[in-house]
Amino acid sequence: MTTALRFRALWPKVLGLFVFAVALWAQPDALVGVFYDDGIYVGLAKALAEGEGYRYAHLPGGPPGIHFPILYPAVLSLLWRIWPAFPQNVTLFQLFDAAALGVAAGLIAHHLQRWQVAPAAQYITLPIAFVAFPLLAIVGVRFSEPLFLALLAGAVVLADRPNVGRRDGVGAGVLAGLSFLTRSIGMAAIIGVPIALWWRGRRGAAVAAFAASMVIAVPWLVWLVWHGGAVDSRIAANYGTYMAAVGQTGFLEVVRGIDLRAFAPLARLTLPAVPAPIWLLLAGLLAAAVAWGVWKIARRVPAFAVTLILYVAVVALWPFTPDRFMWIVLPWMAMLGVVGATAAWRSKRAWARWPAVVLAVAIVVGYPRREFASLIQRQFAATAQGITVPFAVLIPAIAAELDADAVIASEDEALIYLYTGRRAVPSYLFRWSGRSTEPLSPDTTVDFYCDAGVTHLALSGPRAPGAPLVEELLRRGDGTLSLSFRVTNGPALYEFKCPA
Amino acid sequence: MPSLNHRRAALIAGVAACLVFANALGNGWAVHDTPVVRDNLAAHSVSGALRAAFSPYWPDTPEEPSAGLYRPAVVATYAIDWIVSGGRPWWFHLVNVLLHGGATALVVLVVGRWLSPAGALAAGVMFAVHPVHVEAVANVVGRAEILAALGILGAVLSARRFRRAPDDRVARLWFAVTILGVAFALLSKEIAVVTVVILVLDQALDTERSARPTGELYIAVCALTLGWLFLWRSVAGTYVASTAAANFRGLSAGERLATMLPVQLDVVRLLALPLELAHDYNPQTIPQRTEFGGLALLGLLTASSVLALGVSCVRRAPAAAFGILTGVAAYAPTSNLFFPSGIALAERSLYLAVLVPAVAVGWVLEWGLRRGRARAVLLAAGALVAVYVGRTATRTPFWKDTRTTVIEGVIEHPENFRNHMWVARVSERTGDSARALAEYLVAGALFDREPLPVTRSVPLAIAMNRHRVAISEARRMHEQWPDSPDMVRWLVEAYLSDGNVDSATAVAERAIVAAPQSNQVAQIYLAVLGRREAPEWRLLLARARVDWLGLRLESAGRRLDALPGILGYQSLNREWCLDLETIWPGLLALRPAMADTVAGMVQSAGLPCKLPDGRG
Repeated sequence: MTTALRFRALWPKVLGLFVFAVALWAQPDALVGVFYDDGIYVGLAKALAEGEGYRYAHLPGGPPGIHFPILYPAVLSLLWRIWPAFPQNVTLFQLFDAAALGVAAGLIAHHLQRWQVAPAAQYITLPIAFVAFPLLAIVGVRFSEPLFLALLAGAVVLADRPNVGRRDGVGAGVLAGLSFLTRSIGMAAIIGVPIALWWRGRRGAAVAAFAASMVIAVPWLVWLVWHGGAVDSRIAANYGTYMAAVGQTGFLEVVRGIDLRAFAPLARLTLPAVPAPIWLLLAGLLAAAVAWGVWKIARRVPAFAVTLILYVAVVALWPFTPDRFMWIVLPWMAMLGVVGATAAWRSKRAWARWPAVVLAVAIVVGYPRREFASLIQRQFAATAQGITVPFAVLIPAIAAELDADAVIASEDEALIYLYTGRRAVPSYLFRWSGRSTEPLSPDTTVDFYCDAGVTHLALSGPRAPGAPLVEELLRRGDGTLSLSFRVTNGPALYEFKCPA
Repeated sequence: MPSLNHRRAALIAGVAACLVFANALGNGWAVHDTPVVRDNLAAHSVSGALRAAFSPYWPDTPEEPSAGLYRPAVVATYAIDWIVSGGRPWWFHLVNVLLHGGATALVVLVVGRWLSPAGALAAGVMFAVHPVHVEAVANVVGRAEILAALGILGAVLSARRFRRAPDDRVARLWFAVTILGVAFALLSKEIAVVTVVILVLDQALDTERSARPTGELYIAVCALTLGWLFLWRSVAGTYVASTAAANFRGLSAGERLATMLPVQLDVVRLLALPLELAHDYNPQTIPQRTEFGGLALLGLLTASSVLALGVSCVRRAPAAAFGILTGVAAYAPTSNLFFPSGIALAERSLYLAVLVPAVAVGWVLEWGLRRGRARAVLLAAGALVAVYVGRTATRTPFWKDTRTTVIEGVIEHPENFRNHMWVARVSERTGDSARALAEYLVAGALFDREPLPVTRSVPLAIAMNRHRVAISEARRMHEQWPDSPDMVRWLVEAYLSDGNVDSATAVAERAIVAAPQSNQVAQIYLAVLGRREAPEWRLLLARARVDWLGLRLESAGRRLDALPGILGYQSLNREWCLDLETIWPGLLALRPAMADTVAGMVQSAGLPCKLPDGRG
C-alpha cells in the first residue's frame, strides 16, 4: 500500500482528531445558557440526573420538556451523574461535544470516500469547513448539534454502504431515530434513509430502517402528544411543541412556499461584502454549485442526497429559520459546493467554467480573511463571552441577595436557574405571527408573571428584549416594579409585585 | 535447571525488586503521605475516591496550597488499600513494593524485545535496585510514579501485541488494552503525556514489521491525551502557575535555563552513581543562577550528548536507544527546560529515566557475553548491583516517618531552606518554639527570595515576645517586597507587638498612599488606628475607606465578584450613591484626587448621588 493510500485510509481519523482538538481549543470562557437553548439542555439534564424527570425544572411547576428532544439532555444527565458539581462538570459536556464533532468529522470524511471526489479536495475543504467560526461557536456552547451531526452522518454512512443489507438498514434506522431524538429535524433522516434504500431496490433494508427508526421515535412522539398541553400557552413559543408553534404561525405560512433565506447563512459566511445585486448573483452561483454537487453525487450516495434535500427543504419550508440549522451541515454544503464547482470547471460546456471561476475567486476573496481573523482573535467565542458579562454581574447579586424561593423573570432564564438555584421564567413573552414574532401585551405578560409567582425581573441591558416592558411598567408608576440595582448601560434587577 | 527466558527473567527481576525494598514495610507515614493519604478522607473509601475523582490530587489547604496535579487513579488505589488494611501504613508500603516489582518485570519484558534474557535480566535487576527509586517506592505517595510507569510500559507491551495480532478480533482487544493502559497512566501521573512518544519510539525501534496499520492506535492515544489535558486543565490547571518551584522565584525564562542546565549534571550523576541522595532540591541544594556559566554549558553539552547518544544508537543498539530516549522523554516534562514545573528536581520523577542506566548495563552485559568477556562484565555488573543494593537498603529507612525524614534531611543538606522549614514546622508542632524560630530564621537567611519563612517566623517571634527579631525579619522582607500587603501587615504587626504604634502607623500610611486601591492595606490601616488613641474622625474615615474598597459589598455576599463587571461599564449604581455619600468626607480628606475622579464618574453616568459639596 502506498503512503498516499495509507493516508487516505487514515484520513477520517486524522480529521476527527484535528476537529476534536480544535473543538477543545474553541471552548469559550462563558457561562452555560448564554445562547438560551444551551441552558435549557443543561437544565433538563440536571432535572434528569437529579431524578426530577424530563422537566423544565427552572420553570415554576416544572412542566414536562416537550420542545427539546430528549437524547442530548439524557446524555448530559449521565455525565452529570458522573460529576455532579455544576459548573465544574461543564468540562465533561465540553469534552463530549468536542468528541461528538470529531466523530462526525470522521464519519463525514469516511462517507466522502464514496463520493469519488479527489482526495485533495476534501483534505483542503473539510478542515477549513470544520474550523469555520459558526461551527466553532456552536461547539463552544452546549448545543445538540455535534451529537446530531454524528448520528446523522452515521445513519447515511450505513445506508449508503455498497452492499447494504437489512442489518445495515436497522443500524441506519436506529441512528436516524436517535438523530430525531436529538433534533426534531432528524425527521429528514427517518424519511430520507428508507426512501433512498427503496430507490436503490433494497426494500427489505428500507422497511427495516423505517421500522427501527419508528421504534425509537414513537415513544417520544407519544410523550409529546401526552404532554403537549402541559405548558402554559403564554410561553408555548419557547417551551411548547413545534406543533404549537406552527399553530401560532398558521399552517398557511408553512405551505406558502420556500423561503430562500434558508441559504443565506452560507452565502453570508463565504462571500465578500459587495453591492447587493452582485452579492445576489454570487449567492445564486453558490446555490447552483451546491445543487450541481448534489446532482453529481446523488447516485453514489442516495441516502445522503435524499436526507440532505429533505433537511434543507424542512429548513426552507419551516417558518423559523435559525442559522444554526445550516451551520451544522456546513462541511457537507462546502463539499457539495466544491463538487459542483469542480464539475462545472470540468464540464464540456465552456459557458459553465466561468461561473465556477467567479465563484471560486469570490470565496477566496470573501472567506479566508474573515476566517483568519476569527481564528486569530477567537471571534467565534466573542458572542458567548459578551453575553456572559452582564450575567456575571447579575448572578452573584441574585445568589447573594434574593431569597431561595425567589422567582426571576429574565432572558436566558435557564442560565439564571443553573447558576443561582432560583426558579426563572422568560422575561420576554412572544408568539409567532406568520414568519416573525410579536410580543405579548404588557398586561398578559404581567398576568403570566403573577401566575408564575415572579418576585424579581432581571435585565441584561437596556437593549434586552424585556426592556420595553420594564419601561412601560416603570412609566405606570403603580409599584409593580421597583429598582433593586441598575448599572448604567448594563444589567439591572427589579423587584416585582403583582398589581393590586 | 530450567533455562532462562524472558518471562523467568521478568519474574526474577520482579522478586529482586521486592526483596531489596522489603525493609520499606517498616516505614510509616512520611512527609506528604500525611496530607495526601493519612489525613485525606478521599483516600479512605472508594466512595470518597469516586467523589474526589474530579478534584486535584493535592488537598488544597492554607498550609499546602493545591498543586496542578490530577491523579484520581492513585487516590483510588489508596482508597482500596485503606479499606483492606484499615489505614495501616505497612500495607501501603507492601503494595508499593509489589507494584515496583511489577514495573520491574514489565521493564524486562519491554527491553527483552532487543536484549537476550540475560541482558534483559541485568537491565531489570539494575532497574529494580536503583537507589533513585527509594523515594518512589519507600514513600507511599511515590506510588504515582510507579503506577504511571506500569501504565506506560503496559501500553508499550500491549501495543506490540496489537501490532502482531493474528486477526482483527485479537487486534481490537489489544487496541483496547493499550488505550486502557494509557488512560491509567494519564490518570496516575502527568508525565504520561509522553506515552504516545514512547509508543512511537518502540515501534520505530522494533525490527519486526507491524502486521497491521498502527495510525489508528496513535490517533486514539493522541485523542485520549488531548481529552486528558483538557480535563486536567479544568480540574487542576489553575493551580499550576502559583506552584512553580521556589527555585524559579523571580527568575526569567533565560535565568530558569541558567539555573536548570547545571542540574542536568546532577541528573546524570543520580542516574549513574546515586550514592548521595536528597529528598528535596529546593535552594540552596540547587542554587538560583542568573547567568550562563561554565556549569550551564557543561550541563547543556551533557544533556545534548545523552540525546545524541540515544539517537546514534537507534540502528546499532536499539535497546540502548529505547532506554535512553524513553528516559529522556519521561524526564522532559519535569526538566524545567521547556516550562517551569512544581519541582526543580525530584528523585521520584526519575523513575522511568532509570531505564537509561538499566538498559545500558543490560546492553553492556550482553556485549561482553558476545565478546567472550563474561567474567569481567559480570563482575563489574555484580559490583555495581551490590553497591546499589547497599545504598538502596540503607536509604529506605530515611522515609520511616516525617520526623526521621526531616531531621536526616537537614543533616544531609543543611544548605536547603526547605529542610529547615520542615524542621521548624515539626518543632512548632511539638512545642519547641525556640527551635522552630531559629530554623525559620535560618531558612529565611538561606533563601531570601521566598516569603514563606517570614510569614511563619514573624508571628512566632511575636508570640514569643521576641519583638526585635520580628521587626528585623519583617523589615527585611518589607524592603524586598514593599508592595506586598502581607509584608506590610507583618511589619505593622511586629511594630505593634513592640508597642511602637507610631512606626506601625507610618508604615500603614506609607502603604495606603502607595496602594490606595488595596482593601487589604486599608484594613491594616484601620487595625493600626484601632490600636492607638486615634481621633474618632480618623477611625471613621479609615472605616469608610475599607467600605469603599469593597468590604461593604463583600459583606453583602458575592457581589464583590461583580465588581470588575460593574467597573467595566464605568458606571455606578444607586446603592453606590449611598456608599459615596457616607464616605465622601473621608474621601475628600484622604484622597482628594480620587474624589474628583469619582465625582466626574457620577456626573457622566447621570447618577442621582447627592454629594455634600454639591459636586454630585
